[in-house]
Amino acid sequence: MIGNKFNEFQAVTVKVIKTFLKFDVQNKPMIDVAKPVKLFDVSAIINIIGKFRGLIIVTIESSTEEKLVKRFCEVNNITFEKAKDKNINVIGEIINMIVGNFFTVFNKEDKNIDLTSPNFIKGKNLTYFSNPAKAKQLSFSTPAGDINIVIELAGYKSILST
Amino acid sequence: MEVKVINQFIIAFTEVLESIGLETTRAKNLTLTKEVIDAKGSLVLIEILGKFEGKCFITMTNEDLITFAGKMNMEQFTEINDMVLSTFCEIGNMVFGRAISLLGKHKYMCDITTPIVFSGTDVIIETKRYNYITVPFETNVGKLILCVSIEKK
Repeated sequence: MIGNKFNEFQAVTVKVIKTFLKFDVQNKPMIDVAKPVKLFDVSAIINIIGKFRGLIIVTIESSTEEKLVKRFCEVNNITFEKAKDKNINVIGEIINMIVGNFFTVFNKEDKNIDLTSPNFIKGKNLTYFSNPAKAKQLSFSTPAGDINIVIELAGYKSILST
Repeated sequence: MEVKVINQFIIAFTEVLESIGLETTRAKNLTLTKEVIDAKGSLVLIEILGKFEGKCFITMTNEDLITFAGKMNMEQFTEINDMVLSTFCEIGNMVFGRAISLLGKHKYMCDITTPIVFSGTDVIIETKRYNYITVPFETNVGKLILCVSIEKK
């Protein structure tokens, strides 16, 4: 059941990247990753809250970030300076587009999950660790570089919802 | 950000660190940080949900974290490994769990997400939409910085 949802999320993500960034995107097979998980230089962390808990980390190289921002501006006919002036967090918008799909796919039947706003972490040789010890990783190959999405889900129910 | 709420985090931080045998001294330069926070090397991050919403994290340098985890586990570590990260994760859980418990005593019912630990070099956190109160602490195993951004829902 959850496996099907991951596949659906993967397919929708490819479609969204193709539509919004007009890129050719290839998805790689989903893999299990053991922690600590190695991340790229730029990561956005979003918590899943509600019926089940979890975590989504979208991670890209800093060179990919630059190319994605450039592409986003090109497709939307805005200059990077203009985006900066208007205080548009371009990479934030791209990540919201990707993560928004997760919300759509997983919230389709029972509307019981919510997502927190993203935390952006940048650094070199980044690794992350949390419990449980395993997570799933989806990878997407684009002309700008790879976009990796690490997802972990737990059946934990909030004490506030009981 | 209410002073009473922030204080519960500072009390929890001091209580937990002292309960595990560390001597802590709060530095005087408490600051309000916007835009970017230098995370030194490692950080443990959680989100607060419920009556209050926000994000909190504790940062320290990788060298200090290795010493800190060594003291906690009574073992000598030479590099950041699973055990070191797991120790930091547990400290985050203890500190923020205690803070939430203290907030509950003041009838502020909140919940926290699972702590996540990040480690690397030149690590920074972008905080464009959030203002963080950063509280540095000196301990006998190094410097820890508590960063709290919490608002009433």
